Amino acid sequence: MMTVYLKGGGLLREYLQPDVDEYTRRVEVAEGRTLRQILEAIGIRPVHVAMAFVGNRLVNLAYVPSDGETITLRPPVQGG
Amino acid sequence: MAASGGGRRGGAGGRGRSGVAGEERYARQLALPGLGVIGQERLAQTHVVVLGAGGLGFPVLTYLGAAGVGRISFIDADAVELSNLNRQALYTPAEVGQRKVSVALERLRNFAPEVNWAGTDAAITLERARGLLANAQLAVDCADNFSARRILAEAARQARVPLVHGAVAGFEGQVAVLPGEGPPCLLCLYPEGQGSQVPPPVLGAVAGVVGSLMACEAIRLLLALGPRRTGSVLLVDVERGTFDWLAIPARSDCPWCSPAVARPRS
Ligand SMILES: [Zn+2]
Repeated sequence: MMTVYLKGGGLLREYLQPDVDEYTRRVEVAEGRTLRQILEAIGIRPVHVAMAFVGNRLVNLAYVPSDGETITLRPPVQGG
Repeated sequence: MAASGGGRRGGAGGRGRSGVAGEERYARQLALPGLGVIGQERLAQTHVVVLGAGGLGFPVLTYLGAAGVGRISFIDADAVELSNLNRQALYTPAEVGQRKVSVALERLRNFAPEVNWAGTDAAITLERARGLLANAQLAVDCADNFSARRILAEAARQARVPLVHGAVAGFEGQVAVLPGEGPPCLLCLYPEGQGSQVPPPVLGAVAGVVGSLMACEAIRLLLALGPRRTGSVLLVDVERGTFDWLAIPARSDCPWCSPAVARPRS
């Protein structure tokens, strides 16, 4: 198992249910899981996550996080 | 839809005066490094097309007009609703029910009569977008749904016109600067597409921040001011106080911009 930190604010917080701090959820996952699998495992439908990034790099739901990594999630943002 | 307040004095490339250098209106920006008389004249020669005259369109139209962009064409198919007014200060409660394009045109012409303003009161289609972009240097996406955004982005690529894209929801927003040709494109930024949603909650000031950043990026792009951010997206979270510029990865399977994907010529 390994630890991944999912971070998200605003409209995503209600799905993310942060526990580490106001915006961060700590998740224990098996190695090799994709971001999509991790989200589904904690009850977040992938449709609620429009974008994700690690550091300064945009990643998609096929991304496989490594131990200790923080992934920032963004909800669909399409209003004008 | 009447123009008033001095009327128009010609548009992009057609100013009735000898130039902008003597115009007191722009005095506070002419001294900016990288702008100056040459930059101001360049803005005056420029045609920008804006999709949407709502929460993002309000700051974008206002600040591009204020900066002295010579010709600004915008398109919107909505009427003013009371619920618009937490973020759309182009409109007043007395104008609820009126056509946005008509109200906005009058207000913007009064505000910046030097600009050649044109409004289209209709939903965007590929054909309309192509027509608007025929002689434009920049497209700005202030739409409120992905299908309209996609139409503008497709027409902009066909016309080889760069695109400043913006969107907002809640306390969050994003601004992307996309090239007129080559990768990346709007479909690289949203590989899964973006389903239509009910209108999201949004704080007016957040739309103001994101729309103002879009206007900044538009002006920077038109004047080649500062570092190049074409191909990048700015992710804004006003609640957390974060602003992250990220490179948009080009999709190798992108139907629009990947050289590896065969496309019919349009
Ligand atoms: Zn693309």
